[in-house]
Amino acid sequence: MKNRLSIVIGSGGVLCAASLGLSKALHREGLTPGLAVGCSGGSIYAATIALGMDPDEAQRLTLNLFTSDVFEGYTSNLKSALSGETRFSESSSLIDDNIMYERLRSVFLAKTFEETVFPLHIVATDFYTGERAVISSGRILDAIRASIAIPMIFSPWKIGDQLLVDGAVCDPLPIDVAIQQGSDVIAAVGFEMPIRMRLNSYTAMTTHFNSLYMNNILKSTFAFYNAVHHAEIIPILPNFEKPVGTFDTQQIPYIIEQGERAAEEHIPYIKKLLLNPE
Amino acid sequence: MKTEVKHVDNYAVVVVSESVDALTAPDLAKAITEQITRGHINLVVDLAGVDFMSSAGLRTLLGAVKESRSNGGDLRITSSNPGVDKVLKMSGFNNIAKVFPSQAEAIASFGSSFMSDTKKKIALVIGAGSVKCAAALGLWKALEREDIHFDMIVGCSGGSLYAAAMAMGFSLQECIDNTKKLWNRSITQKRNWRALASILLPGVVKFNNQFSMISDGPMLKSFTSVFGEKTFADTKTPLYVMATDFETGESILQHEGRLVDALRASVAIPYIWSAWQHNGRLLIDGAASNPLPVDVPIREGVDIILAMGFQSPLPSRIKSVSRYAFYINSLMTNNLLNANFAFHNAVHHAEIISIFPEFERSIRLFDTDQIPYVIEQGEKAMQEQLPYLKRLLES
Repeated sequence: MKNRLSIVIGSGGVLCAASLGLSKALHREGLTPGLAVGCSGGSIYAATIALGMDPDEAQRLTLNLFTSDVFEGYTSNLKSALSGETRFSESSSLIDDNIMYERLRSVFLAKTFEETVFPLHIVATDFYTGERAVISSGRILDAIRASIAIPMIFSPWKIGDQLLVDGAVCDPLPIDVAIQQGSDVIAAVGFEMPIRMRLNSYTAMTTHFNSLYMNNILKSTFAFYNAVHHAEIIPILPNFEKPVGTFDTQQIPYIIEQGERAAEEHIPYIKKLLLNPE
Repeated sequence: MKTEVKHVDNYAVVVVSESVDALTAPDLAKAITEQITRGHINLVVDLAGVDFMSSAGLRTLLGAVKESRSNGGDLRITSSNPGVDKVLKMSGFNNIAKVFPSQAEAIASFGSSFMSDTKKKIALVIGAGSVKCAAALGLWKALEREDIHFDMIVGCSGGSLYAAAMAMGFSLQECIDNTKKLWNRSITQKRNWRALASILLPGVVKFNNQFSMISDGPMLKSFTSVFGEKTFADTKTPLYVMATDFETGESILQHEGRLVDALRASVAIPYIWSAWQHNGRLLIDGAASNPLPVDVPIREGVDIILAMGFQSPLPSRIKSVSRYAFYINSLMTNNLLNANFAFHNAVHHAEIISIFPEFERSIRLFDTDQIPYVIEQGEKAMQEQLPYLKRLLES
């Protein structure tokens, strides 16, 4: 039987953990997705789900991925890059990715796309053309590293002969990949980047502009996918009552809880759709 | 889902309640088509009683808007449920259809539309593209020979300068002359040293959200030398100028007030020029939200839309952090352009003719000496589409 349910998890840093809540809610109802698509932060969770990890296990493993030591060196690197002391080219970054890479490796080891329980696709952006790049084979770790290469913060990542950056630059919530794969019912977990109001430095300004653009690309692509999909897209939009930063790892349990709550609202409708023969 | 239809004058009011989803939307489509077939081409759909609207429901509504417009009418929405409003906004619906707070206001809006006569309407949209936007003058040259005129002109960023000059009714030659005044090297020559210091010495010179690499004095002076104190009310053709809210990223359409204010806001390219304070908002480059604002004429029910758009040039070498930031911005502007254009093409009821001139030479942000060549390429691109445009106008 064709599996008609897909999960798409968009960019949003640790907020993407909300997708584990969706996964929990589906699991309880005996609903299994047949496809997972992830972008940027969402690629980490799409991978754990597609690898068949238990949601609690996935929570435990991802809880400490982005602690503050991952971002060490940022301020001093920025200073020397801005003053021209160090050159800044397309392969440069403000943060050395060693710690982050090792953390990701401890979760995903040398696992490949071929080892997943159901198909997994991870979206990144071609650094030179800005076009979407869908990664569906090879080492999952490489695909995630490419997909989360936040511009300027982490360096782009080479896969084959393609230099790749953050998937959010082209397709923050890649529903189109699920549409292309022929999914009917698409549960989409997406987030707008939080907008910071106090812009007291050049980098705050670049972050601000990037966030504005990514949010507008998110809205435009979502509008288009909605207008052209033949079946149903169900946005799962968790409601956070307290402000949650994109790297606020301590909030992960709360984020998952809110994701589960948002998903539960849609479960009866998802079940009805999957039972409907059309 | 329940639907109830009543008629006010010749307008059909379709009151919808409960859940509009994949299982119920076909019934809504049927109810609306029935009204249109009976000649009620102007409809108001009241969503106040809807508690859930799914993507299939939205698609049905988008289809119904198209259907009514293809028949010479329009479908307008009233909605007061915040949950449904959120879905409408998220899916771009509010940009392409008209949404009103009440049935009465929606019905009243039909009377005041400039679309009320049946002649085919043409709009020109000139997208962001700095110097390349001069290609719009070439397009105009080709159309003027054929005596084809616009019912509406929309501009974004660099495109807004040409949109404004054309809407003011300047002659082609005046526009070409003005171009040299509006966009030339002098407007980029005054470096903003204070801003540069604020990057390098943030402790000494305070960084603020008015940051810009270039001081806007010469640019304001050149804009004023062409448009003076003229307002949108002075234009001969209705003019719309796109900008972006600096704080929220929303697209802000400008249709009132001084032209110079609207243009200054619309060209405020991130990092290069500072945001422009206007009507209580801080505004930047329209390209940050809507680089080729085709949705404006779609919402107004225009049939034929000439969309002149440009890809942002990518700096060939990245040598510094600021170049890197600008490079990523250009990538994202292009992706935003593509995503919006795909959506607009999917939802428009009639025809969008895209005119994307080809440039064999690389044309950078301020290569103003290339303007004659740019105009030529614009004319060539329009010339290619002209037979089709004429066929559309005659049909």
